[in-house]
Amino acid sequence: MSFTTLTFALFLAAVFFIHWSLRARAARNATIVVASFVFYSWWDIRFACLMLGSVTVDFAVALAMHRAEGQRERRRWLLVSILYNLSVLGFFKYFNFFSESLQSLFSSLGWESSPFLLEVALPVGISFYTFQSMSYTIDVYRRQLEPTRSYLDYATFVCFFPQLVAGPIERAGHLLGQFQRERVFDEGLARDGCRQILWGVFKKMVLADNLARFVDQSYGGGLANASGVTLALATLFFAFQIYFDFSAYSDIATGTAKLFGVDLMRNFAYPYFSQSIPEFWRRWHISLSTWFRDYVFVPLGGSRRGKRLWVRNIIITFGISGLWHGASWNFVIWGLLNGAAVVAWTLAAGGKVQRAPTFAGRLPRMLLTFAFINLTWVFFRAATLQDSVMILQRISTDLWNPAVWSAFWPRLITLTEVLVHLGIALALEYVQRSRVHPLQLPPMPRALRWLIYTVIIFDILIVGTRNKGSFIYFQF
Amino acid sequence: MKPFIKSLAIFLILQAALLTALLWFGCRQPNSFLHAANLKHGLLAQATGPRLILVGGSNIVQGVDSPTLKSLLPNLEPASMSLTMALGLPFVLDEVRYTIRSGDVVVIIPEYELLLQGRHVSSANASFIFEMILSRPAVLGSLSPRAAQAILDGGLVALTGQALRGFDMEHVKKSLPPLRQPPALRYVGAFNDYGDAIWHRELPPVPFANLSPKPVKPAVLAQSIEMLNEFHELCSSRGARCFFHYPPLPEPSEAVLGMIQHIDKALVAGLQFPILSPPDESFLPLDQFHNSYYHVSGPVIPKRTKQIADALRPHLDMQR
Repeated sequence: MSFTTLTFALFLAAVFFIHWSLRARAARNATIVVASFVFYSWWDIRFACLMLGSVTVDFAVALAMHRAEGQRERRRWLLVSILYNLSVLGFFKYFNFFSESLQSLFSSLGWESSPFLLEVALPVGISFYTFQSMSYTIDVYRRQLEPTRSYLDYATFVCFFPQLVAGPIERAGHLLGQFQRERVFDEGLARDGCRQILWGVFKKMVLADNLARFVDQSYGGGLANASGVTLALATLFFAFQIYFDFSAYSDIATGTAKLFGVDLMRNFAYPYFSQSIPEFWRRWHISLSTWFRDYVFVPLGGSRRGKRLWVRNIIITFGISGLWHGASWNFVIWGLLNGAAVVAWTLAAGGKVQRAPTFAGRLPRMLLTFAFINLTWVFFRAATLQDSVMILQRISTDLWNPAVWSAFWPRLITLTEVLVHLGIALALEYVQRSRVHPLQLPPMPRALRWLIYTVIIFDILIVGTRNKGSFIYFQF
Repeated sequence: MKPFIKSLAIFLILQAALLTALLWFGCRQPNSFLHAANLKHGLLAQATGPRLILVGGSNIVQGVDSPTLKSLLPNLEPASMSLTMALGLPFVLDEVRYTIRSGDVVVIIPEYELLLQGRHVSSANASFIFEMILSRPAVLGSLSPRAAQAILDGGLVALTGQALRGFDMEHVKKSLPPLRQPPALRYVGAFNDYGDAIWHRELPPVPFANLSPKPVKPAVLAQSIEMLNEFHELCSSRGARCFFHYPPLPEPSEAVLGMIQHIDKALVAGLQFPILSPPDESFLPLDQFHNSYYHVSGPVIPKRTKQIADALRPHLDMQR
């Protein structure tokens, strides 16, 4: 069940009414858990059982860790949790990748063998909920958190359906507490949630899915014949597609959570308006970036042990972050490139945060940051490493060729509709960048607000595409 | 919470009203060939005696002549309920499910594609069903939960968008057999009083590609058979009788013949009601088809109609 289907709208309405018609906190949490299992089982009921496994193991491990007397025993329990979660993740997501990589390594050494591959479907959202669940046991281990004694509260925290499939990856310190307290319906929050959902649906259906058509065609079947100009535009479109797609999911998730009186962490803070690569990574997929910061970068030593180790830690963290996105060397390279850029940018700036006060000063920095991020998206989007290199080569040769541009021009005309929408959306986001989402409008008469919402709804109806509601980050 | 619910409800009702008005007055195509469903349901409701209800896709609406059928089987009132296989098997069965009454004789003549679809309602089906809803809103009452979900999940939003853009269904049509006739000929004026398409009967044949082999998934085929049996059970419970007949087809290639034999074997083993004749009896020479492999040409329609009547008669006589 995807967010942009009316089935989800009906499901949400039903869960909303059942949830708020119940008075007891436990009953409300139980409603959320049941709804989450229905929501998740819509893909495959076996996936739901797998998720239940993570919930049960981490809940039990945290309690056992709390009861443990010595530090050694606590560490042992932490290892159980980490091993369990990483094994599940490794089995479903990385087994074939490592098997193929090992086989390539053997081939290069002259030992020919065929890789042992598994034909298993990747459970939707597995990278998200395992990380969320794992962060809980790590926090308990670090004594930053008291383990909960309520299995129901913990299951609600891990399985909360709005953010189950593609985040934000929440921390128990922020989200679990909200399920342990009585929730009161907050009308302002709910109204804001509805607006955020509307903006998310607009971004997904009008922008991301329309951009996806051109991107998929250029990077997919049309790759062999696509010119460098086409590929350059496809890469630019992909940059916006992935942003609007993923941030749309986060907006709909956050908006939906608000309807249940739950506040989720912010996942995107208009990252393409960043003036440097380090800033970009503070504003893009914030929940994952902070996860890696707290559970990988800091334990590695962070920036505490000198510049050289800081560089190493940044590179390792970004490399793992790349691998988290997918079992492919493309993602690893994408992560490493970003890590290297963060290092280079920070060193060049002397560790200071540099932000221009005027738009004229900000624009070149924003464009430079965006250009670099765009370059790295080639590795993220291309199917193979060879494709990535070929695309970059073709862009670098064709981009300066007027003949290729003139051949491309008629095609660009057909993209007017999506380009106009893109321009409007970016302008709106820039103007409203101090707010969580652009539909947090300044005070105005209700009729005018409703007129704006109506225009957006009809724009979705008319321009929105018929995608079955699959979001890019579902595959991660 | 009440003010929030009230405000949201008013907003949603306003949006729904605005959308319905736009669709109804601006986008509804009064000449859509799917309007013929109103004519067909009207005939079905008006018939006083036992009816001969034909269920399937365009092979019936373009290949059977109801007046001829009436003259060949005078005790039955023919009602050709078919329009297009693009509506999908679940829908074409659901559409007549609630109208069956005692004494009716139902002949199901599904195209092979319908049998290979199972219970699945594709997004192309959803598009046509949605257009059908605009042509005949009463259809909503017979929509199965699965079809409703297909429309919702296939993107009612996107379907509405198509409607608002003026039913721009070119991408759907491209995946269907080409309809070479001018668009105007597909509309209501192209049907006779019995709901049979007549627009094409005088036109010369146009070239088309014959049926290509399709993968037969046993589980999906089993679903189709299950659906047909469920429909038959419903007919029996209401005192009606149900029969199966194969659609007309130009002499098939060996690969297609293999596919048809596979389907036939499964139907013979699984169907709980009679198959009127084996599939090869519906194979006809290629030049007897009009613009698609299921559409017999005008001069062949009486022959095809007689074929169905002749196959059905022994079963009716036996009953008598």
